[in-house]
Amino acid sequence: MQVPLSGPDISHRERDLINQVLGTPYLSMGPKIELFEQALAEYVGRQYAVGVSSGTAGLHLAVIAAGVEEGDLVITTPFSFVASANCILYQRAIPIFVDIDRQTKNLDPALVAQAVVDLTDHQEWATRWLPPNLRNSGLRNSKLEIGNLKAILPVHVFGQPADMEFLNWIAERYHLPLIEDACEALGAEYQGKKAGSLGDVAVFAFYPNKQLTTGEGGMLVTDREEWAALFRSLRNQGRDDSGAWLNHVRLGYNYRLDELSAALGLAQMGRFEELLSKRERVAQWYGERLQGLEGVETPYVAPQTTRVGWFVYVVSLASHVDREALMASLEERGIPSRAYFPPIHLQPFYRETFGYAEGTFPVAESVASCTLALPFCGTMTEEQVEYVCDKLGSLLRSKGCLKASSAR
Amino acid sequence: MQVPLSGPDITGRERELINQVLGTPYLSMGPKTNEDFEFPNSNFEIAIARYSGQALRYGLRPTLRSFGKLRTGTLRAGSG
Repeated sequence: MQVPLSGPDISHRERDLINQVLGTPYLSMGPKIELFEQALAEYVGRQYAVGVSSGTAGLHLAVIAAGVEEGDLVITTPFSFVASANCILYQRAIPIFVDIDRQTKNLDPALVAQAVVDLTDHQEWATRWLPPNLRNSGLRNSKLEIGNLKAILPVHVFGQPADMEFLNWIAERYHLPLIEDACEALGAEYQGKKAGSLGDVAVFAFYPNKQLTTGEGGMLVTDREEWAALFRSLRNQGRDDSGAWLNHVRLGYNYRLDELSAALGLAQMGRFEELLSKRERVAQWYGERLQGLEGVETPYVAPQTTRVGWFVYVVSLASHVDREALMASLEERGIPSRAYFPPIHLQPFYRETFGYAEGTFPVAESVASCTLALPFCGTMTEEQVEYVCDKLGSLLRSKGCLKASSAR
Repeated sequence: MQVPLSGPDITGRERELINQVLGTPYLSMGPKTNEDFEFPNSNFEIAIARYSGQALRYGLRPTLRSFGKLRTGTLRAGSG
């Protein structure tokens, strides 16, 4: 049996809407994007939604709105997809990585509080939070003007919200904008509130493996009217909002979401509860079968997480399991898997630019060394889940997938 | 009479290909090799490369693999 790693769920409604758009002259910035924005804003419970070409583009615009400029600092997590830190670098600012909570795999709020206090009130302790290459020169470096701490950017990793109550408390006390990277968490709920309604601005992403897809695409949501207007201008080459087509009032980008993608998103939004429930069902099938299997830990769901917006199904392997060997053996049996996520600070580009090495964020590194994303999407059948779990179970019992030192 | 400033020219062929994509799992970055000729993503790059005839044009997000294949002369797109 060949099981796909992931796959979109496209019905006749998506086809109908897309074909409708093809019959109009509006292939970009037409009526569908507005409807899609309204539908998502309403779903999340936000005043404004602005569609963009990707989650990454949305994150970039959120960072701009937070006033982040060259040399400024933004606190974020090292355990994420690279875009959540790259969006800070796009502004020539510096990501300040803070280690994660072992269970939720999200930013550890106590460490965030410590970092915020050090970076604002105790400059003599601030340097320890800086990337290694900038530490020696301190916070007031003559070559690189290191500015102020400007924002906190938590990521709701794998569809589970970060501890937003605590993070909000810190952000409010220090007047820092809180940017929710909800790119993996559409549909998730934290203490009964939707992911995307928990900070000053949130970003969703709609890549084909996401809970809702537009092919490529993303969306910003906020209650701040002036930020929504800024996002509309920035995504559209810096045009002003008077409707004058060739009047550019700021440096903007081509981050528009095209109308065909918006139509796809609108159709998916219309059946979103179905899409999310299907994913929940697959996660449940996995949970039932993997519970108690030696060598595998199923995903932890925090008490504050009142609903997981299942993005991927990531298990943690016991330390005696040889992940590489296991992945290769699974692949041979038609089961693709991925080691989500290699920590951002250990990516070659970040090592080279900032001087990071192993040992800097021990929890993130230890979590990342044993996570494994199994095939997952809403269209998976129970038979496919059964097959994956069967093979995983028998491989974990075989010596071939154990580390040499711990073969028993 | 109302004259539009501009407008796209969409035929049955465009609809056909878009509907074909909607039936695959590849809604971004479709199959990367030149052998998968029926898939529009790699096909589009190849078509533009051929059409331009002078410099190799590739999409905004080329994969190393497809780029490598193009470079190694699977196609004679010319060197500019």
